[in-house]
Amino acid sequence: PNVKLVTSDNEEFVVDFRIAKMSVTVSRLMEAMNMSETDDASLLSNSIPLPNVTKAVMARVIEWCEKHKNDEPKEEKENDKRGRTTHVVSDWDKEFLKNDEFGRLCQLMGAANYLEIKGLFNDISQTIANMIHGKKSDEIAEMFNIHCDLTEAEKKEIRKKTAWCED
Amino acid sequence: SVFLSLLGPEMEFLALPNVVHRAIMERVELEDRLTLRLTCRALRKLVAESRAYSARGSIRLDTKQFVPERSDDVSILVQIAEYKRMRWVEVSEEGLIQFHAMSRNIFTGISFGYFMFDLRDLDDAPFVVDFIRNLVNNFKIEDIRFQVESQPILDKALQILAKYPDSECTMHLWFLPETDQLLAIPQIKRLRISDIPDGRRDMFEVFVMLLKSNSLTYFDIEMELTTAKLRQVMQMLSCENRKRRVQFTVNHDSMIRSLGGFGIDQSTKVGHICDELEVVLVWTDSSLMQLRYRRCLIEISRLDWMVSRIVNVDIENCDANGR
Repeated sequence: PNVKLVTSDNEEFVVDFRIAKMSVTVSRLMEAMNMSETDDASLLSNSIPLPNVTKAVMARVIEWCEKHKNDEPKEEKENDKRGRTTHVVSDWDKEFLKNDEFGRLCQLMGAANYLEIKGLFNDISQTIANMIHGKKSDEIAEMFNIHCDLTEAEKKEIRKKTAWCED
Repeated sequence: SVFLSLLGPEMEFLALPNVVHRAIMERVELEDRLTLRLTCRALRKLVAESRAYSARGSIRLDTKQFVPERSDDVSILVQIAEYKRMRWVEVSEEGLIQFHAMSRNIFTGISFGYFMFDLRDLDDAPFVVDFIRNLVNNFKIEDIRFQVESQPILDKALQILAKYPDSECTMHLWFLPETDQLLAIPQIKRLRISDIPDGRRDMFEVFVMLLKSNSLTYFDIEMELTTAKLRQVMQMLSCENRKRRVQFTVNHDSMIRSLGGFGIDQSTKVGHICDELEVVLVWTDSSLMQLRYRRCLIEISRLDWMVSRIVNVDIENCDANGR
């Protein structure tokens, strides 16, 4: 069975029920609209509006979901009790994300968060952390497209406050 | 969220929801957090208001004798990221305030994959452990490890451990506690005991006691084994419903004799059934033999029939679902 998803720019995507279920947000909406896998009529007569996702981003999300639709659910440690969940980005996912500009990656991250697709969310957050790694502050500012509003005196003060762990 | 949909293709990082920022910041290395603080005010705030993560960290005592120019008498060395960031914290109220003030600038709390509390050399200064407890107040640890060499410090270490009920724990004791103290150690992943004077106690008796109370026991001493003792350990593990694993070292001659009692010798081949033991693997080149006894898998390594050397024994039971 297929499910219709409609993006903010009114593009309709018809996806497999399994793919739709990978998003917690879409699952909840389908439940609220009484759409079930065994009821074709309910699937044909309804579509899921996703006002926070554009056509271009949705296409990327679906591409990721297609690849991961048969994945075994991962057993992850609880964040609040034992610290951070360990996440390793697979080779396919690295390849999938490597050509995205930082801005596009942020859009995809926003969509993964809104749609509640945990695997994609973890992949992108780890990828962004990796992109930050080893860069200087001006390089990060350029990548993030932000203007540095700190004065030299403030930077000096910041360094002084954490002198204990500075090189 | 409506705002997000209106943004163009170059979505601003800072416009992402806070939950996204926190997820990314948890994965950013500590040295990168220091750099991010110098990027802009908003990121400086984000760094200070999010949790950090470090794969490893450690604490150990450091005394003045090694660094005479230091003003304090006793310090601890704290490592919260890679080794080059190991720094002194003076064991004083001021030292604690300074450390927490510094921490507040780079995280609200920090999670460690692995953290070692090396509490050796603290026999004369158990108060230092209380200081350490305050120091690590906002730490979360997945895999916590202790090195301890006296009972008073072990008591303190257990107080620290009590703050981490969900962490995996390895306790390495460099002394042998009294029996009641030993059994008071809660169930942990790995207990290792080293440096026990010969003949102080029947170590097999201690071993069996620990076997009943810990999920994994590693004995870093050479034990005398007999066929009956080996059978007793395998029976105990086979009857145990929880997953258990024990590792210990055995004197060469007693290992050969113990196996001989089951009818296993140099000529034994894969597939042989010797008493209740099934021979699963014989790898002569690597001096390795694997056996199965009821629900237990026994791996014997460094087993050279001709050369007298210490043999390693590793016995693991299957859990309730099979392994």
